[in-house]
Amino acid sequence: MGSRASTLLREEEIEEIKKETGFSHSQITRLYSRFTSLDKGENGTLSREDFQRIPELAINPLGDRIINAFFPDGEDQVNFRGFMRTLAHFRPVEDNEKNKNLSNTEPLNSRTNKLHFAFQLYDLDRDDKISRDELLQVGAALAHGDTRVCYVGGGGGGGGGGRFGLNVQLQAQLAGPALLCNVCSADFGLVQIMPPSSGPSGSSPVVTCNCCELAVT
Amino acid sequence: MTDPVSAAAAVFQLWLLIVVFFIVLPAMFGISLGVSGVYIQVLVRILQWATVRIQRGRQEQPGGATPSAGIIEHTGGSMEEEMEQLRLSRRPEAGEFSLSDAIYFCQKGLESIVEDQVTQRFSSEELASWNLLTRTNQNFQYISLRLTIFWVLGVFVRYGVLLPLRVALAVIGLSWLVLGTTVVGFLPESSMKNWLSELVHLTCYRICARGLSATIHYHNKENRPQKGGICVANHTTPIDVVILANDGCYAMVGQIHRGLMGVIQRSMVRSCPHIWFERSEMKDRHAVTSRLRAHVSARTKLPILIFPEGTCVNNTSVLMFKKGSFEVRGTIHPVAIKYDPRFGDAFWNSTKYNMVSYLLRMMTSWAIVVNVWYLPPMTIQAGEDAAHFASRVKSAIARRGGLLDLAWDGGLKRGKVKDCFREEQQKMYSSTVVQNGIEPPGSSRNPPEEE
Repeated sequence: MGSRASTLLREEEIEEIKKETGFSHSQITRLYSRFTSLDKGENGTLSREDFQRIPELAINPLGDRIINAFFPDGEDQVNFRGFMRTLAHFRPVEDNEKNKNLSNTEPLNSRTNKLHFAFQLYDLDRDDKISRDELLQVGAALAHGDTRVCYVGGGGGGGGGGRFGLNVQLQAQLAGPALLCNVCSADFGLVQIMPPSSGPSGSSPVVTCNCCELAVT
Repeated sequence: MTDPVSAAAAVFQLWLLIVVFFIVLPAMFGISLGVSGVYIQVLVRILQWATVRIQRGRQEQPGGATPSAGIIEHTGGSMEEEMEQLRLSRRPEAGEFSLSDAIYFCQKGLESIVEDQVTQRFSSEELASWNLLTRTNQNFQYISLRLTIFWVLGVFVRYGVLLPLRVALAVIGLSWLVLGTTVVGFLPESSMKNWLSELVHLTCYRICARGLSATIHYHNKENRPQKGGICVANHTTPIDVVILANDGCYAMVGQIHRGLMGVIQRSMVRSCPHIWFERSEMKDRHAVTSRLRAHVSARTKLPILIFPEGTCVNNTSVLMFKKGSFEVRGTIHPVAIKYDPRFGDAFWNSTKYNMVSYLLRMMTSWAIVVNVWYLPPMTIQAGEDAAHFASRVKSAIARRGGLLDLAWDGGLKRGKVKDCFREEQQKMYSSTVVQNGIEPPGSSRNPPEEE
């Protein structure tokens, strides 16, 4: 990792991060100084404890899951590149219009990648599916077991809107408000996300609405 | 044939005499010769010129950007408002949690990772523009020759001229304090003794203030703390004590230290009643409160000086006031202290610097310019509990000093946040979901089916 140079982020590294994530030069330097201020051990990487030292994150009901998102593949330390890669998901989508880079890979902050990030908040065992248990775990985390709050969702078939009993095994699908199907009326159909890897190469992944099977991007 | 050693000694003696006659003696009697006033004005001019020059240089360079540009696009709004936005299209019923609710917490969590309100209070404030001190230089880029010359000159002046002067003044001031209070301590209890002790304390603190090139502006002196009251202020540095004691005498509260501090503390308490605690006693809140109460109820004693934050904060905000001192049932005299960060960073980052290196940094800054506002006295109202009273006083101080009013505990500098705050967030979410369920429009919704 090199010497502990808290203010020396080399220009080549900044350029690489800029290409990979789309952040501007000043944003990268600012986030780097934030990274070093969080890095109490001064070894160039952040551990889970470094994140938990942020009080506003520690009181967030989903704080632990958000921290896990920074540590893929079960590692314990994240370096600056990984830190920026995860943060890049949260850049506004409109910014991509401004700096169109000509690379063929999908930008990290595309709509699909954002949804994938949110999906992983629920999918703890990383099997690309959200089980009923995982769903209820998130509900319990948000509401601290308040029994007045329950989950109501659609079944696997079209139309949806029904309540399902607690003893029904169910594979839920992620519903995002931004991806409403314009055709279905009030009781919208649930949207199925295809993982980016399974889409045909070269074209952007397709998101379909279950109820009317129209392609919605 | 002059001997170089004796020549140096003669120069030193002359210098010392000048220091004593032109700085120490006027300081003791509160007279100013106007030198520091001129110095500050010259400094302000130079720093203004430097700011303009740096901004011009930054515009000329490609790829430069303002350092403190915001990085988060805040939508603003409470949890209820944002939840409503998220759930608008989903139209769930009351009590129903929607998958997209997690997105609100995810967003807030990421925002706090990029920039949070608490951890930044425990490190020095970022300056809008460089003030020609190496320590505040974050993106050093060569801008112009003149700027560099000024910086070099500044280093020479601060380290070569000002530092020895200030060290000498500090030594004189502290030894005068120890000697004076010990001598006064031998006198029997009388009003003469109190008057002398106040004189000794005042003169010593005035010398120490000159030793830091402190320019203090007191506002609203009619609200100065009276005998038998409690003075509370926001805490940035141990120098706060010197700043406040330049204008009046206070009874200090604190732990007994070892070493030099302990010597000073023990001699101070001989001449007038300060409240020093052993380390073990500090943990016993009841003992602390009863001693404070005993001091306050004897209305002839000096006002107690307390910093309810419990720790040093970087002077951009006021953190939670511990309610212990507000349970004592005295009159509270709030004081707001605000340092001007252009002339030197007064914040003591105790995790980074120990006392000696902190004082050295203080003595090699340009100066310390500080505004002190005395606020009108406040008392606890009927039906108000100590915690609420504490936060009322805190808001008054924050408003007066132009500081941010935060409810976070200063103990977060070293400790973890309590779980009950997380439960508060969860409770807020539950009540939002239960109450703000959006009614479905008309009959377009299918009736619930049993499975």
